[in-house]
Amino acid sequence: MHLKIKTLLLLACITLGANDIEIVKPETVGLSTDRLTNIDKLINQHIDENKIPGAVVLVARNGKIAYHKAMGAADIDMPMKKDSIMRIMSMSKPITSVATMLLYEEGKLLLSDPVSKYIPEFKNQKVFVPLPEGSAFSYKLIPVKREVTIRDLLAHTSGLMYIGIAAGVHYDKPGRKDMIELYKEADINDGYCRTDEEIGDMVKRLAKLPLTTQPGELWEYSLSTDVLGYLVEVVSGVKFDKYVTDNIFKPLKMHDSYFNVPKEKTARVARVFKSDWKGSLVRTTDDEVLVQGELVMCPNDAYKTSGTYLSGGGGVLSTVYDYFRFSQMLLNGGELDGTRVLSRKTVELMTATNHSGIYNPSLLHDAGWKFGLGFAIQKDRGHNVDAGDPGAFEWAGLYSTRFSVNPKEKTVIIFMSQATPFGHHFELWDKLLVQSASAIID
Amino acid sequence: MKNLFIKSAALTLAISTSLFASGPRVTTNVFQPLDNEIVSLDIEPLYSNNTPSGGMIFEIVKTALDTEGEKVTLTTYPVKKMINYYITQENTLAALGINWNLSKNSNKSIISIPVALIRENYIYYKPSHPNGIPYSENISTLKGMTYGAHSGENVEKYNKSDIKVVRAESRFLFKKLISKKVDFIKEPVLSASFMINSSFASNKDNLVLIDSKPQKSICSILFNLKNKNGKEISKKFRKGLLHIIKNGKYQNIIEKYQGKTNYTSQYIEELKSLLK
Repeated sequence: MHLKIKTLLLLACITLGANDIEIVKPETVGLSTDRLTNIDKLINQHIDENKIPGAVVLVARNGKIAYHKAMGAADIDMPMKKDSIMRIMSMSKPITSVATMLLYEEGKLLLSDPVSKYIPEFKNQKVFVPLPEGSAFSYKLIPVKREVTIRDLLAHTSGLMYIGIAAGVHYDKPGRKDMIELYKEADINDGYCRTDEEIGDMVKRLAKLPLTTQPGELWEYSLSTDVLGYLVEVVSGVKFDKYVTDNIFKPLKMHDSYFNVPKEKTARVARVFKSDWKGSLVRTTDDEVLVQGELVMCPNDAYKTSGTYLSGGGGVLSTVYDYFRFSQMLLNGGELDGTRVLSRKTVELMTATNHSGIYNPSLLHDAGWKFGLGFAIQKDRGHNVDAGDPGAFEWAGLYSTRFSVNPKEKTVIIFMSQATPFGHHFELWDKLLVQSASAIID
Repeated sequence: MKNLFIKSAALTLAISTSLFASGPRVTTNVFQPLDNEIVSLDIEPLYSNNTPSGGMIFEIVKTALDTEGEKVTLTTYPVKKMINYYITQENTLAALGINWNLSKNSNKSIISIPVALIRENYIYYKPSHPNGIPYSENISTLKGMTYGAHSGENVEKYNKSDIKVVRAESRFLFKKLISKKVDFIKEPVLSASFMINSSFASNKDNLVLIDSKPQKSICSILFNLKNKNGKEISKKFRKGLLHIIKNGKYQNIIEKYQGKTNYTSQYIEELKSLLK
């Protein structure tokens, strides 16, 4: 009898699919079934109003999934499923940051190490200083006061930038136009379109360009995490995707997470839709290049089954369930189901709130939020964010994906849609956080 | 007295050791300007920090200056504007490259010396022109097309032939070619294959080099007179270059990178006349 049960359990483990994931009765983890049902209404309302094509939402507490639903469509004539594969874009950054911290724990690098120790092109960097109009040259370059460190890359205080963000948020700053032009002329891209080259090729060019600010002085969301991806390759000696697969995806049983989705799974990749949030929802075409200001995205590169450009800042495709496993590992202080990925001390370091340089709070949700080593952390409640607790950490992806981990309430909340532009879904996400928090009944 | 000296020395040593031990790991002492620094774009295998020798052109420069007892280093950048910045706004010793187009004012503080003649071919993108482009001898046969030129390149002949010109750096020119925004570009034969293989491999078969009537450009080194050694080293370079042309080292370097060709000797003769 015991043998039979064990065999059945073994079979269940082997064949575990999206429909086999255990969902507990919410009340067993202190959540209200009725209140969680409000999430159905919220998401379906947005689908009915043609704001998003569909979504998958997961709410977990105490390590157990209490809510996991797929709603709407993944593509024309293709329903969204719990195991639909999504472009998680910048939600790749926490994964890349964890990969870096694994090498840190192995003693292969220190966060205080200059990046040039591993990528020599980062030596002798200069900082861009715009000169007044009418000057013979529009800028001058001054030496950095200190080199960019690995910690700077993790905390986005490196002085690097994203073209799209620089244009959208910092465009009025003196000299930003020139910096954007330098990036573009050097063929630096934000990593949202695949190229034939390898990530190291781009990083080496990037390192030769001037920094926007002195390292450590300003928080600016940037290509820093792409540099980390290449750094992982250099330090570990293996390709970045293999390192992440062997050391994060496999140990955490994230069986649907990839940089290049295998052919047999491409049919599960949800399509990106353009939404004006007013009822117009347009499917992206196969070769479509989305251009929003200086932001250039190729969403359907995701259907390519091979690629050399392994973007640590935005190259991962995953499912809500896989990302739950990653998030739960962080919530558990670095382990999941008996497999330890990171130490508790390292997770504490990553979620500490003292890393930021000067920053624009609006990019981190609001004042009171800080950036740790890979994601934003809520520092207090004295700001205009409706839900959460101090210590809660979260990040998002450009095609409307989000995750939130709340250590105080032991919750993990994940929302994934595939809609662009990014900014429209903020209110939906905030409401989802409120509804999840409102479902707590203990 | 002796004791005091020893104590002072010990104290100095202790302080410096302690400073070293507890000092920041990331110090500014690694940011000292490099002596005799030459800057260029990174174009493999002409001049590149990815090539151990620094590339064919840099190796010529280095070898010529070696014979005169001068050591130089190469720093490459991905953008021509940065090269222009370093040679016109700072005291960098020299810059290497093709297609210089500096202002008259900047040219006053520059000594330009040709280093090599570079063979170039036009390249087109097969999906844009499945039957090829009708170029054989005369550029005017390409009237109405769009040419992707390098920044600083003299485009007078294209303008005269009613060929539209779009400017960019090499990598972007290839991208513009593939995205069908330009009809043809021109690249050094040697570096074109490197770039295609490293960055545009999936389009390798579609990027076609036109063999007929290859072009040639002069690759020059610009010595910066604002650098305190610029004038003196420029003289040494000219002397060293003529020396290695004469003793055959120059040709050896060229052939190391591009093999034996039927035009190398001719190009060397032309270079010699330019150096007179």
